[in-house]
Amino acid sequence: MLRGFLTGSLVFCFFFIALPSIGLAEPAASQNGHLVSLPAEKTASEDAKEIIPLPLLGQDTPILVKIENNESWLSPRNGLSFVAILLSIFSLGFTEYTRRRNRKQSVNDEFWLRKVAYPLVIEPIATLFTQTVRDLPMESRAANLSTTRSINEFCTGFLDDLEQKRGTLMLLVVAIDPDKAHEFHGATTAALDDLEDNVSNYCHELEAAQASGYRAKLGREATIKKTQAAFAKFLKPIRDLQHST
Amino acid sequence: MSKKTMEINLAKFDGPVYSGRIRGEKIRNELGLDSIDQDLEMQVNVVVPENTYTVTSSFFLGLFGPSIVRAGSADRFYEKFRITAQQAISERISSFVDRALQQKALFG
Repeated sequence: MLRGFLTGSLVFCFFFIALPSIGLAEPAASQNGHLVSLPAEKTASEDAKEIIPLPLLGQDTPILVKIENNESWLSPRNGLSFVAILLSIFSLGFTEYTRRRNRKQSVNDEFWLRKVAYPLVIEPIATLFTQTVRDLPMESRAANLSTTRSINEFCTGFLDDLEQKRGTLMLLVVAIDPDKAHEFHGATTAALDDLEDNVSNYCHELEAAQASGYRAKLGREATIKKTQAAFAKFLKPIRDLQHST
Repeated sequence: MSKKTMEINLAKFDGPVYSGRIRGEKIRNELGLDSIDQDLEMQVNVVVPENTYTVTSSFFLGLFGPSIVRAGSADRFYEKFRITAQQAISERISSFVDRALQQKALFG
């Protein structure tokens, strides 16, 4: 009984004396969102509650924010940042370079080569090569496939046609990069020279053979092979030009 | 003042097909045409034989190309080099001369 009484007294003292004295029993007053704990002796009375405004940091009192970085400029983190910036600059430069190169290639390849050079110059000359191979007079006298007159007509027609095509080649030379024009002109002209020489020699051989009744020293097959070689020689500088743009 | 003259007769060289740039250049060197070009008093008569089958552009420009370029115009070239040939070959030679001058205009 006595023990029960003592325990009850202790619990009472704890809730009504000890807790208010340490400021946990009563909720704090609120003003401007700040909780204020009042001294224990004032919480005893309802009127003793006061609202004390706290100074607002940065508004009522100045704040000095000081950030100190003790890392050196040569730290790995700074190094990585620097490399990242360099890579970004390089990437921008490379993108611009690629754009310009693609545009130049587009102008050279799409316009000059496909729209101007190929239909006006390259294709007609390529056709001349193939027609020459096709129409080259036969050497068989027995079959009477080639008369002296037809050989002469072929040769004259071929030389006239070739001379005209050489004129169009000048158009192409004017259109391309001046640094490459001279070399390009020399290479393509040499190929056409080979064609002209081969066909002229063959036609003369054939006519001489017709007149003498002997077989031509320079055969048709050999002339066709030489013509094909000249055609390959003609195409090479065009391919090189296309790859260099 | 009378001009000195010389004759280049292609009959002296292996014909009747005159082809090949290297062959033309070789004959040019044999004839010493570089020094003849510089001799303003020299007039050259070029004879292309009647039996000539053809003169290709590579041969002709190998032989006379530098002379055409040095002359600077077709008129000045023909003034120095009087060419006698068949009509068809003369016409062809005329286009070779034009081409050499075009090349000169393009590449200098």
